[in-house]
Amino acid sequence: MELEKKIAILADAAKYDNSCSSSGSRRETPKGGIGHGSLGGICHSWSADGRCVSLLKILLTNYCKYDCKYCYNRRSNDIRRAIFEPKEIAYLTYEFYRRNYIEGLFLSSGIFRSPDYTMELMIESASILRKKYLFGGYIHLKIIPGAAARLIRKAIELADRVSCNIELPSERSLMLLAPDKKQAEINNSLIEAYNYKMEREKPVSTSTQLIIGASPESDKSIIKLAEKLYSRKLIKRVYYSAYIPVNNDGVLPQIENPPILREHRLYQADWLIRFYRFSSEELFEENENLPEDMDPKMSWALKNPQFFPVDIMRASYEELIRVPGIGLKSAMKIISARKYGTLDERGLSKLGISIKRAKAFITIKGKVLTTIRDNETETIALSKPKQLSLLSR
Amino acid sequence: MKIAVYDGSFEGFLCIVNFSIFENLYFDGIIKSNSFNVLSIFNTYVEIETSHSKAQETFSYLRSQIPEEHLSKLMLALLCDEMNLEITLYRVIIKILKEKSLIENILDDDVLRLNKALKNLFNERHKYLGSVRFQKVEKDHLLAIIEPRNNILPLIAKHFVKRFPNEYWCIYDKKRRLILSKNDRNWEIFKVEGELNLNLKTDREISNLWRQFFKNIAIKNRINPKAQKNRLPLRFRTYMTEFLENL
Repeated sequence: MELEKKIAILADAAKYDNSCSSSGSRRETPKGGIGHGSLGGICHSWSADGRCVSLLKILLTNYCKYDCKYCYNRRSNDIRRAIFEPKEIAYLTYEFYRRNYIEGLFLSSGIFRSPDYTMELMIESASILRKKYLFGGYIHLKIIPGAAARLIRKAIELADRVSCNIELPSERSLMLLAPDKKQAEINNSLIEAYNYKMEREKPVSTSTQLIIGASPESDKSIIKLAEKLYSRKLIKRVYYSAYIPVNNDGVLPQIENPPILREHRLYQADWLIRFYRFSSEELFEENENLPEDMDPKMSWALKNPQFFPVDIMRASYEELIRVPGIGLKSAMKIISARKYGTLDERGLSKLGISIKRAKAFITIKGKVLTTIRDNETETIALSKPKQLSLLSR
Repeated sequence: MKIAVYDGSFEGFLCIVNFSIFENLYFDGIIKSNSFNVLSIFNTYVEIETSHSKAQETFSYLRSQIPEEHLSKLMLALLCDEMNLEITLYRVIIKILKEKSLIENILDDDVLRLNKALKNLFNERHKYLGSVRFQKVEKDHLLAIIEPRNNILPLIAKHFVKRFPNEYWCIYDKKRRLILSKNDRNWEIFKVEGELNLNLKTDREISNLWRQFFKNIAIKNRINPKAQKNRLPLRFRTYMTEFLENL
């Protein structure tokens, strides 16, 4: 098969993985070689769905032994299939990289023959890149659940990031929708990766993906799972992927459009946990799901009026970042600017901080601008995503 | 109003500052001699002669007064060459010399304007780290064309030298007619006279593979041109392989 056909089929088959990040690598350019890591990551393009393209995201093959109900590449689907030779993957990555199309490679795969066999071909691709092309760019390798520990270790040696998709938020759903996959194997892969990283002090990060809306789990159980993975340091980042109906199957929900707003709210909650020091308990309390009509921070603020208002001149960083509409950067700006004088509305707007969403929760020069009650409807309206059409990660 | 007219160079700018530091001559405006300006009879125009030694003198003085990290950052404002920031930068420098802590005061209008411009400059730089597209021309050399709003070539040079240390490559800023060129271990930026004639359609094989990839990586159920445009404004796409028509 021509390379052009293969790339069309295997890019198409890889697109449902939402991970694209190329950040976190401090790898230096190998002597006589090409490429280095960029700590903050670099987006090279944006595809027609508005998602960033940073890596050559591709499957080794879309031949798959498994028959996961939600998956486009499942065994029982009648689709065009292709398989790359490892040297073709290395060649494409190298040629794309030197034209500055990409930051590196994100290689995943269907299960071809066996997890070990698939994993070996993936490792060979990465190994040609690192050893023959002396490639110092970013490599993200998917770990195939059930692959031997020695292969997981080899993958970690070559990669800047490894990931292993948990796919569904509970074992029950996994058994129902992905009968060939075992939760124990997924967990073991993550633990193996964690142990090896610790042992070798390898700066490799781990990520995973959860499919949202293919199974009945609540937002709370999803975020609690993520929180657990973060606190055990098994995972650096969880990706949430709105379920896209690609197959017709009785056990799958019948939906027209992927739940993109729900995906967006989960990312917001995830951010609040990772960067804003919220706990899942605070975000949900007795509720099972995040409200769709406002962001989770606003929802928390409305339920916790005793925390507000905070004074813009005196509030600590921790307090400021809990105010709806004030993010991490704005909080830093407020703290450094208020040393030089009293901050008023004009001062805040000079700093590029909009107080539209914040005004019911702060005092400026000791004055309350508006109370939560007067303002509730307006505040909620403001916290709705203005352009739903822009939601996409 | 006293307006300084200078040649647009870094050294020229330092010569303006020189007058204010050493000769107590202050200006209310600064314009480039090569740009189109409506002169007014109410203004006095002072033609500034660019002198290497005067520029040196100013620079050493500034270095003795302003911490290195602040000074080098301030000077980058001159790379925002379409924004007429000279007078703002000039005022900030004069003010800092009088009151050192001003540089930290992000509420000062001039500092604010400068910081905004610098942020814009670094954002654009970052966007170009990703959106520069090389194509293979003769002898395996790589060539890219860009048309940035700010003069970002000096800011992206190191990144690409580090990334491609063993390749021969050039990045051409078509707007300013500047070429960043990497040969063996060194890089330089120089100005080209006249138009460069460039053929964007050499490198077919690999660019077609990339275009295939790009077309297929989008999820059809999530097509969203608005989000795409928000993140990658059209002006960046002119020379990007995946957006070229009829390749």
